[in-house]
Amino acid sequence: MELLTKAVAVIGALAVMGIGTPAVEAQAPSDPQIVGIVVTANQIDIDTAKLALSKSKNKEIRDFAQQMVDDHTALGKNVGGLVAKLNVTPADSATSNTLKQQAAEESKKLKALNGKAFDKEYIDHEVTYHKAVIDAVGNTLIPNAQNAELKSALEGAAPLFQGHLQHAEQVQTALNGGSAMASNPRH
Amino acid sequence: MRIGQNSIQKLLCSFVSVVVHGIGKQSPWIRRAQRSAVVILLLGLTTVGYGASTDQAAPTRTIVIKAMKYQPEQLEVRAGDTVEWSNEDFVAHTVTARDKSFDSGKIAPGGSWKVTLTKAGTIDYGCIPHPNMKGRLVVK
Repeated sequence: MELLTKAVAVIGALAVMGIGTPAVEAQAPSDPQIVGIVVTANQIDIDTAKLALSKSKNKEIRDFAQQMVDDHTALGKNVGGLVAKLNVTPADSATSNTLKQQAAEESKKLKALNGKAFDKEYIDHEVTYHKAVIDAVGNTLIPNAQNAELKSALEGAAPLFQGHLQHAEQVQTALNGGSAMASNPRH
Repeated sequence: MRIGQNSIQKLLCSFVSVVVHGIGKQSPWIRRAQRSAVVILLLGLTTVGYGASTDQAAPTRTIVIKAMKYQPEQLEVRAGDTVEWSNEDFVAHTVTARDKSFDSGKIAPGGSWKVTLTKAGTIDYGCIPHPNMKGRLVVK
């Protein structure tokens, strides 16, 4: 139930720019705002993962967190290269500001937890976060991207986020006593 | 490829025998020099021939990892073949057999990893960090 509330909250944050209300064309994010949302969301996941690496002793959590640092750092470099090439300056938006605010709250919450409680909160948050990111990229960022290269880069990154979500779900299942290698037919 | 090389070898051998027949009319040091040249030429051709046949005996099949996919996702190989995965993606991936018969560990972007398959059968494999990536090898 808590998970559902959080999913609604994160998706709600991304909805500030007009997600779910496609009729409101004026609220669609511009390319600089799209890049700003991607850069912000990417950095948040790196920072949260670094917190997990500093606090967790669970191998699966640590492996996942290290992967998030590595993959999102690599993605950040790609985005940086594209930003320079397209000469786009990442712009703030209501979405990126809400993302930052929520990340600060989540970070505060995680810092107060330890051991298994921390691991559970971190991986639950990662599952929710990646679901929200996949939803936002597929339903808002890709459809609104004007530049073809930006659109193509977002389309290329989507399977990476799907991979992260499935890995997070495996770790979540393992943490709840299931098998980490269990296949997940959801996606 | 080998047939082509053999034909060239035969052609050169004929040429060499003509040259050798003509040697009798020349001074001894020219003869020696010509013989050495012939020996070097033949050694060179033999080496090329061996190189080609070694490649054919144990071919390496390549699978490219790109855009979060093993390309091709399914590959049929023969027992004894070597399969090499080349990571052209921007993040690290693994090549991990579901039956645990092989596990590459992390292959960095730009890196590669190979395994020689000895037993016939079907091996499903995937990427540990990205469980949505799946591949299959059919070893005949």
